Amino acid sequence: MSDVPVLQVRNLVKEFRVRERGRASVVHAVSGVSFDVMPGETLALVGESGCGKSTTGRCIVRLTEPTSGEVRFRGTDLLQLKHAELRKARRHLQIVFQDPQASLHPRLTVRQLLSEPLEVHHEPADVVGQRVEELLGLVQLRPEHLDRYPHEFSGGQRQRVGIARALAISPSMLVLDEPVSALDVSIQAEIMRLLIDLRERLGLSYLFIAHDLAVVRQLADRVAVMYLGKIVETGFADDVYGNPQHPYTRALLSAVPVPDPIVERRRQRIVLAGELPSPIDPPSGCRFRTRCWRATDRCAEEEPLLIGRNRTATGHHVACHFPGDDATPTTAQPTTEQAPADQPTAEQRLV
Amino acid sequence: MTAVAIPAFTVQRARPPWLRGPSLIGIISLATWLLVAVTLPLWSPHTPTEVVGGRLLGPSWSHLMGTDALGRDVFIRALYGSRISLPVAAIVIISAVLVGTIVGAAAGFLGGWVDAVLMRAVDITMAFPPILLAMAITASLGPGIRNVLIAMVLVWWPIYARLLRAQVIAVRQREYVDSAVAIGMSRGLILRRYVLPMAYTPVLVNATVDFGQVVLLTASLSFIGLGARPPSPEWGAMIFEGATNFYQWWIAAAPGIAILLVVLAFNFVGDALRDTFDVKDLGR
Repeated sequence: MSDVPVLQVRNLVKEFRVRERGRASVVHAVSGVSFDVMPGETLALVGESGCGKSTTGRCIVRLTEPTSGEVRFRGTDLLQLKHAELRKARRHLQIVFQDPQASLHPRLTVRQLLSEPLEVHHEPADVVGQRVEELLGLVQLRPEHLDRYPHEFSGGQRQRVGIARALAISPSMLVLDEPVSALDVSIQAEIMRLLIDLRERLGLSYLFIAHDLAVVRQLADRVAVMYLGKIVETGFADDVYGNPQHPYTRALLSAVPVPDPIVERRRQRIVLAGELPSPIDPPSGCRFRTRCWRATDRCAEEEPLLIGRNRTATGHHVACHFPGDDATPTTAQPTTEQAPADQPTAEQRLV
Repeated sequence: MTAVAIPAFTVQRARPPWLRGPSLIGIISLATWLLVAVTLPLWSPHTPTEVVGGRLLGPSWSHLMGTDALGRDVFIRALYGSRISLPVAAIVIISAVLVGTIVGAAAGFLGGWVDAVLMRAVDITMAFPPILLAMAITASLGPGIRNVLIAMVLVWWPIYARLLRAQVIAVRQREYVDSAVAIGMSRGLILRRYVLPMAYTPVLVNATVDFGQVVLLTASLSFIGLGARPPSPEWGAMIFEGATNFYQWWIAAAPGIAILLVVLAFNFVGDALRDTFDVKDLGR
């Protein structure tokens, strides 16, 4: 791993102007997100639905035009590029979509879907044919699949086609926008293994967007946790999983089931009360305070910055006035088997 | 338990809706009209302007729909009318679809001020009743079948422009269009390969239904004297001649029945296509 990042995102902001009941308002989808991705590294961007993680991904590849910020990919700011330059730059940065059913043109065969990116970038015909065969091998599909249409495949196979299409023009980095969320659990593991395998073989960097910390555990080098348009915690996977600092990260991690039934039953779960606040009118100060059990007056007044716990650039950073796990949630208690049966859940609601 | 006899069905492969019932009748009818229109000069005993006998003769075996005020065979003239109405309708529809496609695709795909300007033009055109606008345009260009043609294209294109624009906007938001943008495809190619093929079905369905309407409008304009000039066996013009000879019903009835058959056939086929492709009426 060299120390020059492939992708540097700085203060990325995306605001959508909407009109609600005749009143113009602004949705703050992404509010100043910054992170780096190193060559060969996988950064997982995790958060619940509506936190702006997919918008961040789409802004990076400019499928959505960001309001402001900087997306520096291999030294050039993609946001400054003109239309034609951007089309060339896109060769090296590709995106895999969540739902291959929707993202593959229904009337094109696999062969057409895979050769299209190559033709767009003016590869000669003999190279295209050869490359298409090669791609099939890479994603473990068989040559007889070439002349079929997307609807003739299973979800997992379809996503393989989607990955192959993104890889066709040999990008150095992939933005994976929840690539396994639309798939069955058994298939998810297969696709994750494929992604890990491809990363090793092709030396790819990934920005892996997911709503579930468990899914990305096996492949993330670093993790960034997003909440309501901001990154609340980021760090090496081991640090974030082993020693979560932000209350939100801890809540997310506590939602991950444990395969051992005994441990699972005794496991302490933090269930967040309420819904994600509206990004039209985000809470003042810390955006998580409305659902946080540790919130104080300070959280409402002063916005916590993303501060490093040690001095390294890629170290463990947390945006919280009261990080750490010293204080257990006041109302949450470890669940025991003696819990009364008539209680709907043994989980404690945190207000 | 008694054994239950299961009746043996011979399963027939279902024909698509546009090849069944009224639609099939429509297709056969149109095919016949087309055949007549193309081959008519080869077997017709008379030309449309030939005087074949006495004036205002009633229907008989030698003249199936009698003769008109100048002694021409009304039946043969009505058949000859298809050689005017069908090509006129085809040219109008094809031109209107072409113009509508260009305008609708530009408006839907480019959006912004292009969309605003083009759609206001569409609104203005569609604010007039079609017949009135067509009359005004023909009247200002001067009567004649060529000017009727121009007028009808000018009246008809906004329908397709609006229809295609709506479809283009819907298709443009699908994720496979994003995937084409992501691989670096140019906008023109995205429009041609990704958007238009998926947006076109409702336009084609509507065009089929409109075919009949154009035949009707052509006849209407000729009837009020703005279209084809008198010796021409145009259906609307023939009905006008029939109206001046009110008690010789056959003179107006023959072209009237011809219009009825053609319009009905197009409507049958168009409705079935609409059902097949489940298109909501986005047109008018």
